[in-house]
Amino acid sequence: MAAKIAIHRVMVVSLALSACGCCTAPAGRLKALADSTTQLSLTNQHAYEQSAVVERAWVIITQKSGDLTPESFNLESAFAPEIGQHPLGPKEIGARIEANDVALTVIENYLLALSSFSSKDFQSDLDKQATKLAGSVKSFSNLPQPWAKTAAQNSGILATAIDGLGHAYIEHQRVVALERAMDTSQTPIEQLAAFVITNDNTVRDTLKQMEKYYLKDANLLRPRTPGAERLAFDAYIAGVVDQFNDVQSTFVGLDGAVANLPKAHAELIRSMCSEKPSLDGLKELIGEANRLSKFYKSAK
Amino acid sequence: MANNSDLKQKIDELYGWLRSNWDQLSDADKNRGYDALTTLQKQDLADQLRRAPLPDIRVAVQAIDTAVDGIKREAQKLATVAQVVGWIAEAASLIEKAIASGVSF
Repeated sequence: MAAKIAIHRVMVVSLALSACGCCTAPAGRLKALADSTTQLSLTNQHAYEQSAVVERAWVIITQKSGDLTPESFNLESAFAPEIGQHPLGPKEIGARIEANDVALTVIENYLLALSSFSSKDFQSDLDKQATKLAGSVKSFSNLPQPWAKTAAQNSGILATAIDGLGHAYIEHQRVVALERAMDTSQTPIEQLAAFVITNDNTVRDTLKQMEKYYLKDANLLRPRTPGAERLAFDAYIAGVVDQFNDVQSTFVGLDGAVANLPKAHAELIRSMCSEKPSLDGLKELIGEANRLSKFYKSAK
Repeated sequence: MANNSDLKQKIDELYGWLRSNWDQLSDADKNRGYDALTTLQKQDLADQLRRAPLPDIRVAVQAIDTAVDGIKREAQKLATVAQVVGWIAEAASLIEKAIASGVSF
């Protein structure tokens, strides 16, 4: 009798957990968010390469008089401080973009861990074990002993309850664990995204100013009379101006997408227990990441 | 160190002067003038980068790392649930064998 009550209790818990069904792990959405973040990391690397190209153009046009040396075109000395000043170190353009890469990689690894956890097939392992259990129970009922039928019946109920409870427990715990991890990570994600945008804005502003100076320098050096020399000069400058525009476009797209990252993350937290979740941030982020991916491929 | 607006003003003035007098300058003066202009420009860009904020994200990175560790632990816990069912299956199988071979309980 006590065993039956225990079995019923197990079944009630199992049914209660599985009947709720209102919260689900957003496996597909998390994967989409993780994939988009991977794309943002790639775009950031692309921005790094583009920045290096315009910095090189800047280093070339600002060469001082005197002999050239192997160090003359070293990008690390593009903003070589005057004597007595501290080097820029982590505040340098390349260092800022590299720091952004670290921040984006941290977010990417976090989202990949969440995505893997939300789609990990704990259930099939459980099903495998439950099938073995059901097989053993069936063997009971084939035994000749008269009491074996009752034992098989009770064991069958127990096996079903354990199986159901296992499934419900796994799904319940999965959502609880995801909610807990994502809730505590929301503010850090916002801080990391803000960090990337702050650095990008600084780099963009510096490159904008660099372009202005670049054109002034070019105007001083430009051949005064029309001819082949001026055509070649203008063509070279036009190419550099295009590169300045390209790097700005990359940063604008990247920042637009990064700004949506915390919003999309927050939406996924809310979406777990909502039938009609709002996913505008996630959609915008995926759209921008796809656009950047195409832009990146066409630029390669 | 001159403040940024002083520096920008110097750059503008020097550029304006060079632009107006470039064709009259000797090669040596062109070199001197151009070197001075680009030095000031680099200085201005370096100042711009130096002044811009660089937030500390170590705490945020640590928090994300902790969250990832928590998720990994939770995955381990859930894998254990399937393992427990496995143990029950194993026990049921042993009981079945015992009954079949006539062992009394």
